Amino acid sequence: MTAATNFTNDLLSRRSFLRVSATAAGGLIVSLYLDLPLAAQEGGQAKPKAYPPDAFVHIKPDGKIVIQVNRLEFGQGVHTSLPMILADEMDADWAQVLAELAPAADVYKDPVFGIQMVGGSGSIAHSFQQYRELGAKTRAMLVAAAAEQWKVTTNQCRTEASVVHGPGGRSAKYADLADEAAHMPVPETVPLKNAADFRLVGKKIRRLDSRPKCNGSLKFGLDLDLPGMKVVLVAHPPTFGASPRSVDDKAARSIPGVADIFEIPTVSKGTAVAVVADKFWTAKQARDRLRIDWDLSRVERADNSQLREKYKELAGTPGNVAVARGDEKALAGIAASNRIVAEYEFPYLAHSPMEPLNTTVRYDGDRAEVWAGSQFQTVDQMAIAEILGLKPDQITFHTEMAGGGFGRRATPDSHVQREAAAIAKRFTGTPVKLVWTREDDVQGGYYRPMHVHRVEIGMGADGMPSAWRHVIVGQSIVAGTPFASFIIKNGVDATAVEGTADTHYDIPNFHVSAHHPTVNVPVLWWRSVGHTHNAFVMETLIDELATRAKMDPIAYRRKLLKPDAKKLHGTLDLMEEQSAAWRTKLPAGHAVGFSCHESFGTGVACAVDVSIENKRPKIHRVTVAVALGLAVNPLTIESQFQAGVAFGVSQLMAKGAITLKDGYVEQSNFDAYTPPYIIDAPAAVDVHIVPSTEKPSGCGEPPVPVISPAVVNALSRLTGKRYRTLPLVTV
Amino acid sequence: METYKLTVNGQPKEVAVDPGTPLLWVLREELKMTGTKYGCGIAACGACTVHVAGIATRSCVVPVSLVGDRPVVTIEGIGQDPVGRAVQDAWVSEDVVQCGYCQSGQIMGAVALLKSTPKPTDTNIEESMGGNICRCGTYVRIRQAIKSASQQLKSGGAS
Amino acid sequence: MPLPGYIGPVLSASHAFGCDRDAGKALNSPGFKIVGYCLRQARNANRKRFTMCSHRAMLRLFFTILVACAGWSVTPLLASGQSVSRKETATPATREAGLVAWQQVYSVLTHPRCINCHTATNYPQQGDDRHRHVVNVVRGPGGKGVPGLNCTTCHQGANADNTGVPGGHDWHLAPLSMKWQDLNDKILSSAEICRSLIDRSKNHNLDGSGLLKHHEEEPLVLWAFQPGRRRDGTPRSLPQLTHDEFVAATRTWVEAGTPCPQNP
Repeated sequence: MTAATNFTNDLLSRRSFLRVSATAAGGLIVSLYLDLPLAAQEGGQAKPKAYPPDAFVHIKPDGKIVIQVNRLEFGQGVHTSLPMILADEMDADWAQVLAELAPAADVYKDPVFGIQMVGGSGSIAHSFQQYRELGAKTRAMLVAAAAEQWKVTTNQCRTEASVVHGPGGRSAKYADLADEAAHMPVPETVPLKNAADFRLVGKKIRRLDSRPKCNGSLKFGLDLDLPGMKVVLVAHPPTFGASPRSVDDKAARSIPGVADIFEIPTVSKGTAVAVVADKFWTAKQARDRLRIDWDLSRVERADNSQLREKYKELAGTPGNVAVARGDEKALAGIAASNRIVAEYEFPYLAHSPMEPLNTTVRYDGDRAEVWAGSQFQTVDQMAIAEILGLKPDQITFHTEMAGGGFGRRATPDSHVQREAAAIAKRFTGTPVKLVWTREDDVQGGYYRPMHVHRVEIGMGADGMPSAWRHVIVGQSIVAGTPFASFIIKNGVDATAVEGTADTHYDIPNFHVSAHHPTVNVPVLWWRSVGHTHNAFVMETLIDELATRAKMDPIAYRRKLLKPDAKKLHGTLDLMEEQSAAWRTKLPAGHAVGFSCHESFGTGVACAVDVSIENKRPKIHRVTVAVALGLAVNPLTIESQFQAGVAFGVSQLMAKGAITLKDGYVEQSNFDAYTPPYIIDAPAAVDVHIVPSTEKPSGCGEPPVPVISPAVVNALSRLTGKRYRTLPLVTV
Repeated sequence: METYKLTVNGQPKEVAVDPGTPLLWVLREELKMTGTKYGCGIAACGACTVHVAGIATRSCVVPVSLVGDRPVVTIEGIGQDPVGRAVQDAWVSEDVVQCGYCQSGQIMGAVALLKSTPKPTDTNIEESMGGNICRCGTYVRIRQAIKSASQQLKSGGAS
Repeated sequence: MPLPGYIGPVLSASHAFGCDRDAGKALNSPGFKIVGYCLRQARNANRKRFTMCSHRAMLRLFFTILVACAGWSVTPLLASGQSVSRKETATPATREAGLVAWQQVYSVLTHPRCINCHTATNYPQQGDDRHRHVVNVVRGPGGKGVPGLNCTTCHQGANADNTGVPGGHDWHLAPLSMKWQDLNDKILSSAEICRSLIDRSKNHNLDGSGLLKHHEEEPLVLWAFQPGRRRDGTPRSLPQLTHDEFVAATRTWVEAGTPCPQNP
């Protein structure tokens, strides 16, 4: 039974189709088709394709309502908040709602980005309207079914907790109406709730995935166990793109359980050695016993000290223009005593999600099945198809729950999946689980790029910056990827300058340019991407300027911010108010630091209470104010900010850098590349949301940029020093 | 290959593995108990924490040959213990988890702490949980949940 | 225990020869003709040694000769079956030998394998560079860490060479009274450690024979001489003496009445 309609999403203005069907086993399935204007479809007729498994809502006969989540869940909470949005409009009984991670399919693509993905803090921002409409239409059909049964008008019915109530005390459960509802026409348009009528949205709702994550029953991708499965570890070249001159695998092959050892190509045009075994520990033992003579003669051997020199030199010259506002010569007219020249250095950073990277592939000749915790399902699906010589729709791609990601599972080149597919292709019919060990991950590239910033600022008589020249040097993340065409403009990778080029500070003569050197180190977006370094530079410099101007740092920011930067003004006010009580009575040896930054459409301001203990910053308390439109799940937002600022402390860790020497990555595990432990993280974080009913923006990345500049600004108050080089090796 | 008799969550188990195989991989691959996680393999993150004779133990660095006859309790079994159950409940009610991958280890650490220190201070928490990494950064809620479990246990809520 | 037994291990060990390649070079340099005392290299032929081989050889020869000479003078004391006693019975000759022996003992006590767990701070150290133990390990009330992060959270009853984690029975830190470093991780002087070691208010009330027994039998002392392999598969570096030599030196020192160097 299928009925179709189309509706216009205010975000999309693309043709969308809703299909409703009764299932063989009973119940109602609601599916949404989006026909996205992708290159493949342009010019063609926009017809709905056949998507069998693409239900968004499934009302089961037992009353359970299964809602598909069109994105990876890896901590950010969409597995709870997207179903909340749909269930709210549907008036579903929340206690009966289950969430499932949707497999790869066109229908689950991000309505704005056009690929199935998590990134850009866009899950709620992009799917809020989509999930509301799905919920509202499903509800409308259930109501229509009840109204028909009772011979009443739909206006006489109301819904609550998966029940339609009609006149005369009649009521019917959604589950009992599901079959009938499937025969109802899909409404063209449906009214959506007023914010005041939300039952779930705006409430603090606990996660749906907590219990199984607390009792060990939840299966992550790495936990997958299939009959006959092999486990594969790969010996990657120690320098990106290198290949072995010779491989002695005798000792490795002698280990019982080793199935095969062979060379595979790497995405970086080198060659790696795959070890296929019955189990992880077997594969590990065997890989440790490989004797590989790597030929590094044909690859660039990146080296931090050389890169640093080169970057610093580049930073002294203008790059490709990102922003040119006002008079470029204004700076020259300002006396040296009123100028600041600041040079900043940022290292490569590894994401190191707790669950090591992995992908399982079973190749069956004419089709394949894949299990992966992927932020880029459809991208990875296409890559695997390419390696296996199949079409994407011949690949069943299961989205597995992932143990963190922070961007690391969103690789435009799908390098892990390509590796897994290449190996699986040799084992037709056998599931092959590729695991990257922690060492593989730390040494395996795809880092937040290393950067140097050089900033020259001239101050006016009022102490405010009147001229600002800013050069940013760092590899482009998207160069050479399909994203390049719409992210690189005028030779500037927007992800490298975000947070500076689009600053909300009103600086009359403002010039930002960028150099993107090519380096043999794969780079990638790292939670909050360019904001990681740009916010640090901007917010430490603004603080320095405020100090020089002898102005209150909050007042200074407020004065410098454009009046229309409403979110930032709102957060500054709220942060100032909420932190006043503790800020005004700090113990001796403590100092407060501030920062504010807008990223991904979300404004954030924070105040931190910092002292120095054991020669390290001790972060006693953080007060965060956030403006992100309508707060869909304030509990998720609170959690994301509490934890996200701790993630942001990664940048300050003494061992918080990936460094290369002569082509080799010098760190290999958490002993040398150390994420924050509990003692490094803020001891308390209070989060305050600026009330709003405007369109929601994201909360996954915006917590990250603000914390490190705020902490360093506090340190500067304590020590009188300026901190322009990360990580923070000494205080 | 050697045969080892283990007691895991009160159940007798027998495995035939290389003596150097870490307990972690015996649990995950031989006994198919995947609640105990592999995070780093060098005892630097705590995701693999189990209890061996009541001691919170990093199973990724302990060869099965050194376990001996000491009983092993994993995240799958800790809920049978009143303190374990209280901690799991507190984790859920405080909405601690995000990606959740480290939380098996965090919970096993917290249970070890609360069993010996029913009313932990912030310093106790920082020291006892000091070796567990949560990459998402859920530390603030971990603190809250430990305190809430402590409170719950004190009031006899999980007797 | 008859006295000659204590010289025996020292001298009998000398049949072993050879250092690793680098140490060998050093030995061939002028002034280092004594190769016979780089004994552990031969015993653990595939283990790599990095430094100190030649230095150690020199020290050891000097020590052996002195002990061998001095040793005779205390023979009757032990041969008679008396327990070792303090300086009231020591002659000037034995005191001198005892001080030499003490320097040897000191070299072991201050080796990273030993001193890393004799810190003055709230944490143990690790590695030959004696860096602060990673993972925020703390001493804890009994020197065994804290619940959730005990020493035995990782360190089992024996070395886990497969994963590179050392182990021994009841792995723990020495008490603060037995600290051999200051709060800045600087190693205390020979005199300071010596005085601390014989102070029965600090050393669990051990007399000379108790100290000797401790050095002979304590599992964690024994561990220092069989410290296993690092995560990368290379062997951990060893103290300058073998365990037998260490015990012999301790015995000499104890028999000499546990003399301590003058200040500092």
